[in-house]
Order: sequence, then C-alpha cells, then structure tokens
Amino acid sequence: MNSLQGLLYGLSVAATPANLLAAFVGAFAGTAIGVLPGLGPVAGVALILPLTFSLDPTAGLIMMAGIFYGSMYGGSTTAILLNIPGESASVVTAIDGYQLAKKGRAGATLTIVAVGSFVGGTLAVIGVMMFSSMLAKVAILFGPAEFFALTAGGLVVMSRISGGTLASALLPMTIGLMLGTIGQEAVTGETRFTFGIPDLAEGVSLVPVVVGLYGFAELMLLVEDRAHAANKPQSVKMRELLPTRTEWKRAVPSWLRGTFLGFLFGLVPGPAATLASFASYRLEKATSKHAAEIGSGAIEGVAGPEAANNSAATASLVPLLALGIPFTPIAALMISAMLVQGIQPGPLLITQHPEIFWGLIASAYIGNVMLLLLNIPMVGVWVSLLRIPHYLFIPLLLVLSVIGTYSVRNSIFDIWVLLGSGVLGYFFNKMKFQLAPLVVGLILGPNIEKHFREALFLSQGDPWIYVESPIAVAIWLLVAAILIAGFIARRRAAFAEAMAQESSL
Amino acid sequence: MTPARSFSLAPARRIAALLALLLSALYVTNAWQTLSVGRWHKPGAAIFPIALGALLAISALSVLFERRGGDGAMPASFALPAGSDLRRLLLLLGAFALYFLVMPLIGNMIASALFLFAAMWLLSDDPTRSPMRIGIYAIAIALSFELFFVRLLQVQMPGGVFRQWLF
Repeated sequence: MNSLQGLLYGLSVAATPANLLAAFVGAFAGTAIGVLPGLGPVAGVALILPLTFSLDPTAGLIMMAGIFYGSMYGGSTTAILLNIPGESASVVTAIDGYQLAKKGRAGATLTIVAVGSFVGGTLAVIGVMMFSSMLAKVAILFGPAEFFALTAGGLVVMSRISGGTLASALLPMTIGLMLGTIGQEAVTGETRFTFGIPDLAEGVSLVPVVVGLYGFAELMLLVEDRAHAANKPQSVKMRELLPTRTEWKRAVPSWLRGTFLGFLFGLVPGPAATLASFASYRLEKATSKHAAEIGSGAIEGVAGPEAANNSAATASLVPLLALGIPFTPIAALMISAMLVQGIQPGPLLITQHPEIFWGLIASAYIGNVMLLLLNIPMVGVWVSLLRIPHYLFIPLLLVLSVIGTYSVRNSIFDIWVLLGSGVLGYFFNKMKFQLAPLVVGLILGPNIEKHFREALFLSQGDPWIYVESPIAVAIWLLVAAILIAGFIARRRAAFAEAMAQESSL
Repeated sequence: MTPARSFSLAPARRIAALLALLLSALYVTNAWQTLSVGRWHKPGAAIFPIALGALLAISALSVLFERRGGDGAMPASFALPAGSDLRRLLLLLGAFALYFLVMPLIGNMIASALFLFAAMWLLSDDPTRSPMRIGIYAIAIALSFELFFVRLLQVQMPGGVFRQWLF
C-alpha cells in the first residue's frame, strides 16, 4: 500500500460515524482544556486516557489525537485575550496576540491563529504520512544496539535542548529514569525497589505522574495566583472575526515558514511545539518585512509561531508511529494507550494494524477541519469558558484528575503518586527544573535498560556492539551534530547578547 | 496584593541538589545490596540502577556547583505563598488527601461532593458566598461525574458502604 492508497484507506476508517464522533469529542474537549488555564495538552490527554480504554483502539487514539490538537488550538485563545498562555507553546503567541487584542483586533487575530494552526497541522500531516512509512521500512532493520542508540541518544538530545541549563534537565531526567526502574524489570523479571509495597510491583504508572506534574502542580500554582483569577476577558463579536486583506497577505508567508520550521523541530526529541514556536518567532523577526512591529502587535508574530507549534505537534507523531518511541510526554501517553489495547507500537504497526496507522493520520486531516469549524464560529463559547470562576473549575479538575488516575489500575496508591508528583512538579516549577525530561525518562528508562542489556547478552559482553552497525553510528553522529549545533547556537546568542549590552553602555 | 515570601533561587536549587545526592547514595546502596550485578556477558538487574545513581550524583553536583543558580535567563528568586494564601493552599492539599483516603469508605460520589464543597468554599474569595449555592454546585458536579463516568462510561470507582442506597 503506497501513501496515497494508505491515506484513502485511512479516510475510510476515520470517516466512520464512531470515529468521526471520537474526533469531534476529542477536538471539542481538547479546545476546552486548552482554553482553561491550568490544564495543558499533556494533562488533558492524561486525564482522558483511561476513558479511551472503553473505546476501540482506533477511536481511542483518534480521540486522544483530537484532544492534543484541540488543546494546542485552545491554548492560544487565552494567550490572545488575557495574555495567559493556555500551554507553553502559546507563550510566544501572547506577546503580539495580546497587543493586537488591545488594539481591537482580537477577533481577527483569533481567526489568523485558527487558520494558521489549520495550515500548520494539515501540511505537517503530509510530511508525517511520507516520513513515517519511509522510516518504518528502515526501522525493521533495527536491533537492540540501534534502539539503544535511538532511545539513549534521544534522551541526551532532549536533556540539552529542552530549555534552561543542562543540570535543570539532567536532574529531573535521571529521577524519571530511576522511577522507571521500580517494579519488575523486563529482562530477568527481578523485582526492584518495591520495599514490600505490593502496588509498586507493577512499577510506577505513567498517568498519575503526568497528571500530577502537569495538571495538579499547575492547579496549585493557579490557587496561589489571585491576580489572574480577577482577569476577565472581553467578549468577541462575530463581525470582528474577519481579518483585513492586508492581514491575510501578511499572514500567508509566516504560516508557510512556521510550518516548515515546526515540522523539522517535531522530528527532534524534546518539547518540539514550544521550541518551534520560539524559533519561528525569531525567524519572523529576522525575515519579515514588518520586523520592527513584532513585539508590539504584528500579525506575523502570531501567524508564524502558531503554524509552527501545530506543525511540530503533528510531526512529533513520526517517531511514535514509525519507531514506537515516544520523545514527548503526549506520545508516551499514546503508546501506553496502544499497549493497554494490546497493540505493539513500532515499525510493524503499519503492516499489522494499518487501520490504526492510516486511520490516525487521516483523522488528523478531519480533526483539523473540525477544529477550524469549532474555533472560529464558537469563539464566543470559548471566551465564556474563561469567565468560569477559579473556585469552580479548579476543584472540578481536581476531582477529574482523581477519577482519571484511579480508573487506570483501580489503585488509591496511584492517587498518592499523583499528589506526590504534583508537589514535586510545583517545587520543580518554582526552582526552574524541567518537567518533560522526567516524564520521558520514566517512559524510555525501561526501554533503554532492556536494549542495553539485550545488546550485551547478544554480543557476549562485547561493548563495541553499540557502535558496530552503520545505523547505530549514524544515530550517534546525528546526536553529536545536534548537540554541537545547539552549543554553537548558544555561544552565538550569548555573544550577540554581550555585544548588545556593550553597545548600550 | 497576594501575600508571598521570596526565596533566593540558588540556595533552593542547592538544597534540591543535596537531597538528590542523598537519594543517589541510598539508591545505589540498595541496588548493590539487594540486586545481582552479574557479568559483562550477562548483566544483572543492578547494573542500570548503579549507572543511574552515578548519573544522578553527577547531575546533583552540576546543580550544586552551577554559577549563580544557573544561567542568566534564570530569575534570582522565586516566591512561595505566605500567610492566608499558604494556609489556603495547605488546607486544599489536606482536603484533597482526606478526599481520596475516605473515598473507599464513603464512595466516590459522596467523597467528591464533600471535597468539591470544601475546595470551592476555600477558593472562593467572595465574603458573601452562600453555603447553599456552593453545596448545590458541589452536588450537581459530583452527580454528573458519577452519571457520566461511572454509569455511562463504566469507569470503576469505589462505591463505599452507601452503594446499595444510591441509585
């Protein structure tokens, strides 16, 4: 089956009433989650994860993807109307978006953002379609050494590019890896670090950790933040939603630049959507004809980053679908949903479960159209969600987090883990440690150990096995290239900053 | 103005690093004492944890010796709630812990309604808030969650001792 046949097959799968409903519910719930400050895409998907277990695997994954894309869309609404980004990838959108809203262009900006997200998401799906099937063919050749290079190398890259200092990512990443060693290990079945607690024998579940770190911790931050609680958005009228001809013309090149850049970022391990939006903002500042206006309310400042973050979010499906390796917390959640349904993600997914592979890709097209239809005409509904007082929605989300967490394993212990992760996430946020490396460390840790030990078993203890095959060498070289490029970029930025400071003196 | 207390970031990160160092020592000791190390051709279950313990120690040391709490982009301090805000946050955490501790006994729906009431009461800034109105909100939300998740989606939640009298 070639890509076009695959897509047509996927459309036939995604267009069934049950799957369309799943996409719609996911897109709707995702937008609501993205609009509400406190729950970002990761916590949103984590909360909904247990509910997808009662659906068939394709519908469940389509719903999760809908929530993911929807929350990316919704996060921008609060950024523009209230200067509160609904999630980290919308931080950049808030800069120019809020300035445009203050100039009375909130409605038009929301339309530019929604169409930009649609363009970014839809074009990136074409890339995902081509890359995933190509990569899946190569990945069949992978053995333990290659998978070890990919997972361990991916974590190394992530720890360096996820923002902040190296230590700010390395410390939480190692804690995540250590959490992954709790319970029965995969190679010999030995039980580790359970301290006689039966609930730990199965290991630390991903859902309470993710909901705690991303949901509970954010809600704790909201509880102490009364300034934002008092902030109420203005209403947006339908007739204000239409951008002017100049605004459309200025947005198109930024969308295309953002989409391309976002796709590249989506292929690299790390918080792709956030990094892509920041990189796109810098690109717009460097290339736009209206660069001087960026920062004080320019349409390019929202069009580029929004297309970039949606494109990156979509592109991050490539390693998930082709290799079965999650490089982002959301991809990790999608993999755990597949595993619960008895589906092994990886290079064989495309041949063993074409309905899931192509159905998910086709649903991204359908989901993007739904989001466009949901976001522009219903902007008033989303704005009214922002008027729900904190004292109502914070307790409601806390109860939802308990239901979502408990239902995975019917375990009260998991709710303790949720509470502990929430407190840890709260302090890590305050102390500027990164959270994403902890989650990805927890997910990839058992895989890294398994491949590391299997490779040694296979080679009778010869450590050269890790760099023997051309694929493993190529992966390590790519890791080194990304690290070196990052190092050079940081040195350049530091040099430019020093020069700017010197010239201002 | 929100009551808050400011703390220097660098010393706080150093305390976190010291705790991580202690954790790495305990973790490696436990792995060494309770798990098999194996041989190069047959690595045991202790190998990976020992390597992770060393990595945690290295990352803790790098936090401990970082320059002025990290890079220039990092703030010099951070704020934690104090006074009434701290009390409110701690009460909310206490109510949350109590909520899931009593859940197996009194069931999800009643525990949720009680927690929702307590949390809404704690978080509402309105001095004229009505217990009746908050109570109605709490019961309505708890009931709709029970109907949607437990009855419709068949999510398994504790029923508690009152299960037979509800529905």
